[in-house]
Amino acid sequence: MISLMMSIWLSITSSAFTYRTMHPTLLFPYYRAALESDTARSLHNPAFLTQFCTFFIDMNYEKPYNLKEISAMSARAGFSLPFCGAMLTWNSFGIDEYKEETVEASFGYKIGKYATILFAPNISKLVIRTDLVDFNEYFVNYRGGISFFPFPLIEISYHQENIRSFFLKEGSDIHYPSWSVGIALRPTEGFSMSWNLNKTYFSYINTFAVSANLLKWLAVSGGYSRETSSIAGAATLFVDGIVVSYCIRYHSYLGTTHSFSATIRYGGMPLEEISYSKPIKPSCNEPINVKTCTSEDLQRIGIAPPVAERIVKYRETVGPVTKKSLIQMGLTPKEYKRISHCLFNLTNDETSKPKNTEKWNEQKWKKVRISYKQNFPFRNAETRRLLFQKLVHEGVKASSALRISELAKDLTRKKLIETIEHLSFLSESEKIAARRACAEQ
Amino acid sequence: MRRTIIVLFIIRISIPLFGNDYILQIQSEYRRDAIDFEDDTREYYRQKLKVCFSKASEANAAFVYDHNEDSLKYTWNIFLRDISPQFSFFAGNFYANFGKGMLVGKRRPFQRDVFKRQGEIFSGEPFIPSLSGNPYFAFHGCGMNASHSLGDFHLKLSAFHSIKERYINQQEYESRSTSSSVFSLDSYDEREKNRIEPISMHTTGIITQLCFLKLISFDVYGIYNSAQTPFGEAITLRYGIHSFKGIGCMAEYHDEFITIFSEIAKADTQFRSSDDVEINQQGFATISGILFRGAYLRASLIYKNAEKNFFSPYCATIGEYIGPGIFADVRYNLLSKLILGASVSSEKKSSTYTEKEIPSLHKEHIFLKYSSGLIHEMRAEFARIKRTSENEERYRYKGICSIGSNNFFLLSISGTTQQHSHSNNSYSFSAIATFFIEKSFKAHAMCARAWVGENNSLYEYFLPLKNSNIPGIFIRESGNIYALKAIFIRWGIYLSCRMVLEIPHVGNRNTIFEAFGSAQY
Repeated sequence: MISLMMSIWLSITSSAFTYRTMHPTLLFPYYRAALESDTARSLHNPAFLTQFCTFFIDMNYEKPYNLKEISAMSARAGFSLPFCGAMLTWNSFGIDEYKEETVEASFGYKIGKYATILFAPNISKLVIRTDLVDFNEYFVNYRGGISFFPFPLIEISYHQENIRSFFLKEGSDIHYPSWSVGIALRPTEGFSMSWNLNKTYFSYINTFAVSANLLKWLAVSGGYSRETSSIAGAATLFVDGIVVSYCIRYHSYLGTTHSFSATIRYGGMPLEEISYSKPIKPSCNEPINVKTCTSEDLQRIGIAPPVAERIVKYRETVGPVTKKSLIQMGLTPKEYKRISHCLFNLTNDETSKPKNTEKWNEQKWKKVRISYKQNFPFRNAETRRLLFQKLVHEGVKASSALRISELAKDLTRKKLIETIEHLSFLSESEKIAARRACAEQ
Repeated sequence: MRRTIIVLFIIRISIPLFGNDYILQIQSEYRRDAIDFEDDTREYYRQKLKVCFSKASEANAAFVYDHNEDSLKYTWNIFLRDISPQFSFFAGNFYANFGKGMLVGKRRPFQRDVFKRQGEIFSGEPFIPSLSGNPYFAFHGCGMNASHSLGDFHLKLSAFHSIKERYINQQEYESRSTSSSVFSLDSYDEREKNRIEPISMHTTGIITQLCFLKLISFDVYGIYNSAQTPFGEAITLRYGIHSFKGIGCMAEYHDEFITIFSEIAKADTQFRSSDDVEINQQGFATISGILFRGAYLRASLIYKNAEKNFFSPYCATIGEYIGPGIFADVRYNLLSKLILGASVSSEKKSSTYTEKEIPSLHKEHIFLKYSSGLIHEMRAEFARIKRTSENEERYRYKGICSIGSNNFFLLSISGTTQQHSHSNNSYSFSAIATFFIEKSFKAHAMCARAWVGENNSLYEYFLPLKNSNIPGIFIRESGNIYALKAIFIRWGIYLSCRMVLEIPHVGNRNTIFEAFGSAQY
């Protein structure tokens, strides 16, 4: 049985390391230069992680073509800084008689806004132990890639695998210098498409794929590999710092491959959700007065209902709405730019803040100190606004700060600090920061 | 059953995650009906799930368990129509409709009532999600729409690519030629005893729509279809069809009262003979029409024609034959409560080399309808059909009278006489009582008696359930028929079931039970 599987497998992959154990979101078992989903891009090239500044660990298990004896697995760990990222990957694939193992360190660097580069040295081990062949050897090779972003909508990428084999013919039959060139289009937020042309040991492969972030916590992607007649689909769930992915790939002859992955991320990776029904620039027959508007008014110009409600609550609880507060309440700068012409009576950020920050801090806390002497120090809107600003300053999320400011209205300082202990929407670090902000005199 | 519980559980736990902006719909049904566009009925169980991400974006999945074939089939799709004002995307199982459907059209459920017209003109978006669970008639792939407005002009470009994996036997695979047609190949979507070799049917379509002032539109479209092995080698289908391509264009004026359209399509079929000689066969088809919608008068006149060489596997438009046909309808409100309507159609099959006599079909239908106060509906109708292929002519006279109130009690009595040129007359008489027990619950009871002449079967409706594809039943033997139906609607839940018991004078009893339920969160 095993020898039969091996013969089938070797006939499929007469060049070793042709089958790659990939993360489910990468869909196909080969490297594609331009990728559609953010998750896939960041696992392909750590330079794409730089926008998130995160640390992650990922485990991946795959059952190639439902063949019982063969399994493939990989593990990754990586981190990123604002301009570069690094990742260590271990891949294992095969059976006892035929095994491929690879360890790779990949480094990505972001060159301004318009390009990223990737360089990844790897060491691979190929073991073949049969009655006729006994082969056990290590290989060293490199892969690299470059991506350009001439416009925000378009990514053009080139990826070269096994660069060493490109120059040295020795070992190139095992480590074939395959390459890929591709283009990815992002016509709208949370949705992208890609086309890649791969040159492999066997032939050219055209791959088409799309990805859509349907909800804040759900992304789906699908692809078609023309020359291999394979279709793949993947779903990814985002639950706080945990990302779970599943991929199903179907090949006409070889059957179905299932792939699972779990990733733990520190620092999170927000998903750019599709903004349904939102016009790019809403028409404003009647501009909206932010000092009197309702949540429905704000929704009419394309602000998401939870954000609209938060803005109204902010105005009622904390104080005048500024550009900064709109962004703190959940609007992205891009969204603000899109709707700003529909709003009027926005309080200027500069006018609401004294130039001398120390003096400003002194002034605002003086008011708090006065009210502290009272039983309910935050009953006054002004003091609540100052509390909100202090909470945000201490690192509490704006939405959480708003909820605390709202709670503070009818509580004594002592009671408020006690209540903060039991607030489930605050992390431990936020609780410490919130207690500090409330206790400060 | 297990799947139902899992789906319900997933829905229940995911409701808080979806929030208020999303809609979840689940539908389960057990029917004896056509699954979608087939001409025969079968016993099946179907589950549908729909998730709306916004007003225009949705995902659908449908599973069908066919009792007759003991098979489970499914369709799925995701339509993201409002992710951007200029761009939309879809993937999964879908139907396409270009123009008025001469080249590629949206099919309609098969019309079993011979007196009624087959097919219809479809007006709507070029791509429609498939919700039936039956993947045979739907495309499978993905597509997109991109649009741009420039002043009063609106330009929209839509395209799709479909890949359907089907199976042929080894000999056919080795000879790169199959005896199956596009239609029959569609049903071999799983590996069977002999059919083990996979091939894929590739279809690509593109349509450009230019609209001026939302009144005048001009569509240009094209389609290409071929079959190939996983290694890209072409497969020849039945009659040596190697590939099919077609182009067409349509101009339409559309306002509140009037629609005028004219479409021309060209089909180009490539044949490959056994000695590898390629032959191209081209044919043209046209369809034109005028539709008027006034306050008192509604009228339409449609004419279509196709050359004998015109062949399109995805043609779906008005009429039964692809050849020349004329269809006229008129409906006039004589008084505010009295309506007179008439429709006439005459069509002919395209002339072929094999058939000496070209079949033709004529249908006429006239009705008079009155409704006022307690008279819910009073209707008299006459229909005639003449089919030259079987040299037969049929007439049907029907009268219906419904009395009562729509929210208390309704009694409906009807009688039908059907004459056939080659056999005895058939008659039927039926009475339906509808009870409105509460606002949310109503029950129907029906009994009918039929006298059926030989080869003159009657087609009658016995309280069909919502969304039935083939709502009526053929009565082939004289006898009694009883039917019961109950409907419950409340809290976003719709439940209905019906039971039909046919007791013929000769032969076995026939019992039909169907149930339908849907819920929306």
